[in-house]
Amino acid sequence: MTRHVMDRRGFLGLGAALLAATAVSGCGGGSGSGLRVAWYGGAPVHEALDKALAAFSGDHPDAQLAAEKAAFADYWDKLATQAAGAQAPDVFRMSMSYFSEYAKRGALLDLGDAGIRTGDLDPTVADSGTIDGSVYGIGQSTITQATFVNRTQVEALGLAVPQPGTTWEQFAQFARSFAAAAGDGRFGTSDPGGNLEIFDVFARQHGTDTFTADGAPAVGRDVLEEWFTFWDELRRDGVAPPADITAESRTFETSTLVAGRSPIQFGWVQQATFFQPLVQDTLEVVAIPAGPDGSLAGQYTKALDFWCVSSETGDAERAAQVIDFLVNDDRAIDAIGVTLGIPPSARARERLAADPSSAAGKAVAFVESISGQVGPPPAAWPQGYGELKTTFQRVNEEVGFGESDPARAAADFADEADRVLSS
Amino acid sequence: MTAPAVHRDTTVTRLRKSLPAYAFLAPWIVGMLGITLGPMLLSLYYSFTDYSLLGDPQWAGVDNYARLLTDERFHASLRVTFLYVALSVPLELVFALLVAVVLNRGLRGLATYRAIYYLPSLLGGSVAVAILWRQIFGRDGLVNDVLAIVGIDGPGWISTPEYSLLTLVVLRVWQFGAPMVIFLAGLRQIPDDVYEAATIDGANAVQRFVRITLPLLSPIIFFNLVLQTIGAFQAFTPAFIVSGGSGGPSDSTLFYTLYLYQRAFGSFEMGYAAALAWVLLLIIGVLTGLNFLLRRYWVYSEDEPGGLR
Repeated sequence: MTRHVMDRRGFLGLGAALLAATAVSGCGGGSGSGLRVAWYGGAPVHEALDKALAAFSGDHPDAQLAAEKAAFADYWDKLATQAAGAQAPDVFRMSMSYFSEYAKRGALLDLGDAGIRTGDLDPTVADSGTIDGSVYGIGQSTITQATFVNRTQVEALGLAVPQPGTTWEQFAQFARSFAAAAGDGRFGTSDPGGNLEIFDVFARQHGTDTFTADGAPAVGRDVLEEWFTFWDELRRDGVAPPADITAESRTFETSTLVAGRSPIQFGWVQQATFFQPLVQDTLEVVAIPAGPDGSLAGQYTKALDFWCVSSETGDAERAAQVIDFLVNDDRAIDAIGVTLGIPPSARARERLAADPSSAAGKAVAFVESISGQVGPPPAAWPQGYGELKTTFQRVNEEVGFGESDPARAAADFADEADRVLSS
Repeated sequence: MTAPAVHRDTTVTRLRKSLPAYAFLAPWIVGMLGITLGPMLLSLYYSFTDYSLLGDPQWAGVDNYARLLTDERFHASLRVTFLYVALSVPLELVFALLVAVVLNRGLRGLATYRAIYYLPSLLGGSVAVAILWRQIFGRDGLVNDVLAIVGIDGPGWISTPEYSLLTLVVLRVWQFGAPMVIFLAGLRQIPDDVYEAATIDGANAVQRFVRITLPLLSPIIFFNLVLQTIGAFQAFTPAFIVSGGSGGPSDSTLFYTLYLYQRAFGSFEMGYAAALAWVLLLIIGVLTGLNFLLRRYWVYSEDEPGGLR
């Protein structure tokens, strides 16, 4: 028998120590003593918010803030998992698409009495965070739908940039003229046929919101069919790109506008600042085409994203301070600029005094210019909105690939909306 | 060996003796119970509830399973997944076997070739390769650039429903390295004298392959078949990355796992997603069982009389 290098007791002790070590490190990541602030976005957003939070920490040396950053798509898996485990960040950015989902499932704290100053906010933005009488989110930006137009390309072909008040009919004519003049491989417009948020404007021009205030389907199947038909015809005539091109152009970088395949792109107004750096040409920001009367009442201004506090937070007071700072403090306003959207207060917009020829300036000016003409904002998007957005894209895609037709796409979407919104 | 030791081996001392072993096993046991078995049982429970990930689960009986019958997107995902498995697994195995046979002919620099062909398997499940695939098969991608040289205006391979799944099949076949290495090891096991005897008897190369290589390799083929079938059913990353998480265009790459993921994290239907997961487990279990049942009809067993050793 040889002597043991280490006796059993020693072995056991070592094993236990190793176990304890793994157990401790396993729990280490979860909860710290500080306040966790989470958001989604690209590099400009991360830089802006880091700077704003640094200013907050300067004022409150005792506050320990930990930032958690993610890209939009990854953010939601993470947040949902964290929320399920009662480990959600204390303060987090919330999209209008998921706002109801989280609010109605009790994941958000009512901020009604938290003392966050909202006096400067545009009324439509301040109201957007209210669900069933409780304030679950503070609007961090104001948005409206917009059409981005490549002025350089349009004018090179002797056409004029569509002006606010242009009807869908006139817009289609413009796109046809452009496509005819531009020739092969280029189109008169992108294809937003699968974009529920742009369709929202179209629906409102036909008399109803897409969804009722209590989250039921409101828009008629005939309106859906008319919309899908409108884009199907433009695709068939080579005026809007075919479905396979659209399927490959879902990011800013690959969009048909940036690829030079179309002079038009639809989106949210602040995206002007994302598109402009990607193209050499000059972009203009104009309204979504109007209904037959030329009125802009189909559009609305609304809070896009919110700052929310987790219902599980350990320090609601500090969390409210952070949000108040991000929304109201001049240093935060300067740092954030238009990275989160158009600032939700006239004071912030003036303070930024954006260069009117810059994309940010055009976006801000556009919001100011239409603010008197837009309609009232719809209620918070219903629970299940995120899913219906995907469905809308899919049914339009099926029409584009010839696997469905506008009538069936309208029925498919309406059926799915009935199912999702009733559960 | 010594009898007195057995006498002293009471339960307590036995336990004490085996404690170090348990201590070393502990990390695995904790992982097995806490990270595998526990969540699995919990997901079985959730599959009978309306668990939304955010709220508390409410018992829903078999509602989730009943819904599977009428869920058309679930049916679409089944079609896509079965098609993917049926196309990719045989192609991958055939390809792996062919390359293994070629490499087994005592090529100089075998180790290098083996490493080169194995490399895609190491990279294949990764996000980077899926992104690369998107570039290669995109409308302005490498494939169409090559086709353009011969005057063909190719479609967007990943953005056209007819071809998108095929590009993912090609991606899987391209990762033939793992089964290939196993095949190579199997080929090495076949004694040379069997081939020599066959050659002397006048068997040509094809006959040697069909009559000797295939039967003697069949246990390895079986092993690879089972493993790759299970792996193909569980494929997620390629479809997720190439379609941007949508399973599109128009659900043509809606893998089972991708649909499950969409239900769980896209629409917060964790209960339904759990039911989907258990049905997938059932499907894989049944198919694997079927594979084992069919084994005796084509897999050569050394236990049988007439075996080689």
